[in-house]
Amino acid sequence: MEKRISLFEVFGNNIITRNSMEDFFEEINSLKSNKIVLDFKKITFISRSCADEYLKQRKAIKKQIVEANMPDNICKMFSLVNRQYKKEGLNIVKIIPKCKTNSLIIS
Amino acid sequence: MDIKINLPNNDDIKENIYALINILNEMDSCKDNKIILDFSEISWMPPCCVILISNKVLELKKKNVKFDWIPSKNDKVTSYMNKLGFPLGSNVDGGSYVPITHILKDISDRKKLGKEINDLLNKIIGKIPNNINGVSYILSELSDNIEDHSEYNCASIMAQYFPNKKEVEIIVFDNGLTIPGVFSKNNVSFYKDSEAIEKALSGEVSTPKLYQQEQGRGYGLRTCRSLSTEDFQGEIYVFSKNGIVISKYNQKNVLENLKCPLQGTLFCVKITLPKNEIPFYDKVE
Repeated sequence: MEKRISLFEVFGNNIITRNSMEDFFEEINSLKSNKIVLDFKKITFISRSCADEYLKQRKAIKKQIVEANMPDNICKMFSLVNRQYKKEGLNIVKIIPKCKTNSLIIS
Repeated sequence: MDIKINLPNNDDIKENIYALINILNEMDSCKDNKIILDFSEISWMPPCCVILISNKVLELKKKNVKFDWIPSKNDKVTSYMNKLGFPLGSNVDGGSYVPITHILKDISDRKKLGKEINDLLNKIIGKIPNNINGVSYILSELSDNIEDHSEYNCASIMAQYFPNKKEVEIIVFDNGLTIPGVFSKNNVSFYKDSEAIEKALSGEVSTPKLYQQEQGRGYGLRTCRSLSTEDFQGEIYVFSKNGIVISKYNQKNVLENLKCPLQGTLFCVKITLPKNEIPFYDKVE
């Protein structure tokens, strides 16, 4: 069973604060659906801290997460965080933001 | 209790905060149940002072202290304070100002701070011509910093755009533990409070690392300062407890210490928007 969630409806057009992202993932973790489509349509900005928290939560959650309609600058923020992980040699998550396909590839 | 507001009547942020701390302490020590603040002789009121007094008024109102104020004889000052939403902030968006927004901590709704910042961000980016993502980055990092570290009760935020000078000013205050306070709580050694602030700003010590939370955190203040002072060629003032750190474009950082502490942490960021977009997603380390 798939559930589609509009991030705009949850956060507004700017996704800000780490705690709000943590709480959001707690909420989707409690959903019955195994596949969650997170729709980034109308999202204009995500803070660096939120992007960092998103990636960590996404890695940890035991559900299939699929991003949709990810705008270019949101993808760039994920790339920025990914660059910081690499710089610190962190083994948190291997992410390849794919701006052209509006999604993230996580391995 | 009547309190005369005596400020230097200039735009020097440091001088104004030095003077204001005494006034805030006077307000704190008030034993009456009513305070009247007398602004009548004020001819210049920096926004960082307005936000600090406003935050203190809110704090005292919660302790059932009544409040009134005598406006400045200078109509421009009074008009400016009204635009900023003095005394208790405002949700009304006005001209080039985003009035003071007070955010009371609500542990039952951790999305509240994010939603408030979302609204504030939309107001300020609606006023600026370019570099929306860079300005959003600074404001969001300072906001996240409050939530992550400060154990605040009330945070106050405002922003302002000066179209002629193409300048953006962002002011964030929280009445939490302070940076030196957090360091002390976590047994991080430092000589003076300004040194603790500098350690936080340089990323040498970050609160997430103190709390041994997961890696990949602690970039906030460091990137915020470099973006503000290098990329936007602006300045950032940080006052926290007895310490001050002032960082300006192409200048050495200034570290000073106050005799009387500020009960909280104040960030004042002033940046100039360049004509072209700064490719900050590529530049931020």
